[in-house]
Amino acid sequence: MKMWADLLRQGRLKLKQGFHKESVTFQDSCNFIRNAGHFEDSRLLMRHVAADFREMHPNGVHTYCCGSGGGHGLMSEYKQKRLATAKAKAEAIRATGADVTVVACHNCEDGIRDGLKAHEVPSQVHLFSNYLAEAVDLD
Amino acid sequence: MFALYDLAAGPLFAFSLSVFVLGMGWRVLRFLLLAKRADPAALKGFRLVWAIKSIFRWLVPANITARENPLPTVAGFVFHLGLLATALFLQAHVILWDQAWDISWWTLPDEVADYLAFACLGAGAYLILRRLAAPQVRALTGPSDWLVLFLSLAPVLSGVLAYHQWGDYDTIIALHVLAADLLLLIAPFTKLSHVVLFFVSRAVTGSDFGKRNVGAW
Amino acid sequence: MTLDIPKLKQALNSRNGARLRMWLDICAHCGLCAQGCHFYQSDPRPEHVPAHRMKPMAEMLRKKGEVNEEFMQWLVDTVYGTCTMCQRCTMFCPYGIGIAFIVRATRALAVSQGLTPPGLASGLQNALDVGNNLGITDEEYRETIEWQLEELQEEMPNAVAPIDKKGAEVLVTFHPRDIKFYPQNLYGYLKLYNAAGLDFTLAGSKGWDSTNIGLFAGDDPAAAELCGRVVAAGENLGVRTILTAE
Repeated sequence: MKMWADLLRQGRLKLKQGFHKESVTFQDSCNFIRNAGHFEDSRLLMRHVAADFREMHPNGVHTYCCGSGGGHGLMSEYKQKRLATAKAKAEAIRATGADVTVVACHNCEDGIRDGLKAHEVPSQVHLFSNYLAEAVDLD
Repeated sequence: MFALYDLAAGPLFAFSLSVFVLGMGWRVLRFLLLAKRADPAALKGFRLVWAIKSIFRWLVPANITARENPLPTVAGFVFHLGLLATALFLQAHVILWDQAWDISWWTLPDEVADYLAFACLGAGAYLILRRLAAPQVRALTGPSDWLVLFLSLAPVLSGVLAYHQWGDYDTIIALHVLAADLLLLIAPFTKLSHVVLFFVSRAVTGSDFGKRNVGAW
Repeated sequence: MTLDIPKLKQALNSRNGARLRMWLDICAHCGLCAQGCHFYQSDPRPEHVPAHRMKPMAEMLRKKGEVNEEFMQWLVDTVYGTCTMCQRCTMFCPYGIGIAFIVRATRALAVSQGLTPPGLASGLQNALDVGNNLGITDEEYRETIEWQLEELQEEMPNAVAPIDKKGAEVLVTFHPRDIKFYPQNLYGYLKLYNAAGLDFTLAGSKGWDSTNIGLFAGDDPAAAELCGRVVAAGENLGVRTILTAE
């Protein structure tokens, strides 16, 4: 993520401004944001390509976990618990009313998709790299 | 009762205070020694600036917990301030130091100290109620939590009673000093070791998060 | 299950470090961490308060490792079942207690008894044996890359996806699930790198899995082995940066 932001700043990576029209929110993952401090980088990229970017609350270093971290994505024995406890995140996303939730972490992608489904929140989950790739300016 | 008071305020106090000071020193030293031997990652790449920022953000309530929990935060600060300020700056306490060792320092006006002591008791009452009523706290509470909370409040309560000469003064002042001795004595061996370890813990965590660019919070 | 108490004691000793001791000792049981936890916020039960997750370790130290099977099951359910080690509680703790750190240490005790939950255990075994946690073969891996590259070339005729290119600037690694279940994600990555004109390479065989299940499981030797492979791949190719997929 830091690399993409750096490439964008250096002008090496060209992304279309405001390419994505639908409302979107961003999942701050524990690893990228709370552990690695890439908050600014993520916002630089998101605000560049998204026309209607909405923060969910809490966000940044105080973000809720997607529910799928710490190996929970692989432990089917605790799946019911995982879905039940994805509520905090699902409600945060519901409150933004965003059509799309962009996630930058694979664990989060699964965790959030399952969580949104379990708590019936109508928001599509997109992976950050694909979200950016669609906005690449090839000209 | 005078004999008990003399014992409590004399040799017993000297003993408790020594245990307190040496014990707290030992807690920090043990952390450093253990860190070197069994947990080298704890101090690897230590960032002093972030450590200080982190301690500061929690010494003044400038953090998310304070923002989202105003009542426990106020109670917590009043409790700590009341306890420390009256213990260190009450005129009657400083006079004792002056008589014994010929040293003295700035003191609180008695009236202010009285307000502080009552505020501290009020905060203590809130903390007791919170421990009983809030499920997330009750779930964690064990006998030692109650012991420490009551032992911390005992010197303040007896101090207030003595100051206002409520009840039998001689008995209460003796109990007051005994309670304070006991508090000093157990502090290094209970969670009260946070007197010094708060700074160690915040420094370690603050440095760790700071060096990863996450913030001092 | 039968417990290997000497082994458990050994694991306990190796984890009984400075931070762990300090944090277990100073926790004030104030419950402020509960607000930090999505488990507690979603389902407010006593065992979902983050500080509760320190109890197995505290009890274990008190009993000096002399525990029974029932205790171990409780330990496993607590530190695997109720924590994602996201560290949010640490942000709410006035002392900054690293509960995730203690949970990881406690998971190591379970690992010493072979009690890693099956889902994690099989992923870890795949990662160690085959080179990625989903057990994808080298052939599948290379085919998927070629396939996505061909698709991309229809949009970007000059797109490349070099494998094991020596002296490249960046080594790109992947999450195995992208290869196996979501190959279109690969398309996205390759498009971004190509669009930026980045001098990148992919790792040929072992060393392309950017995940580290060993870390989740609390199995340190395995975690070091998995991390070491990626680093070794990077060093062999002489790259300056290793890019992880997550």
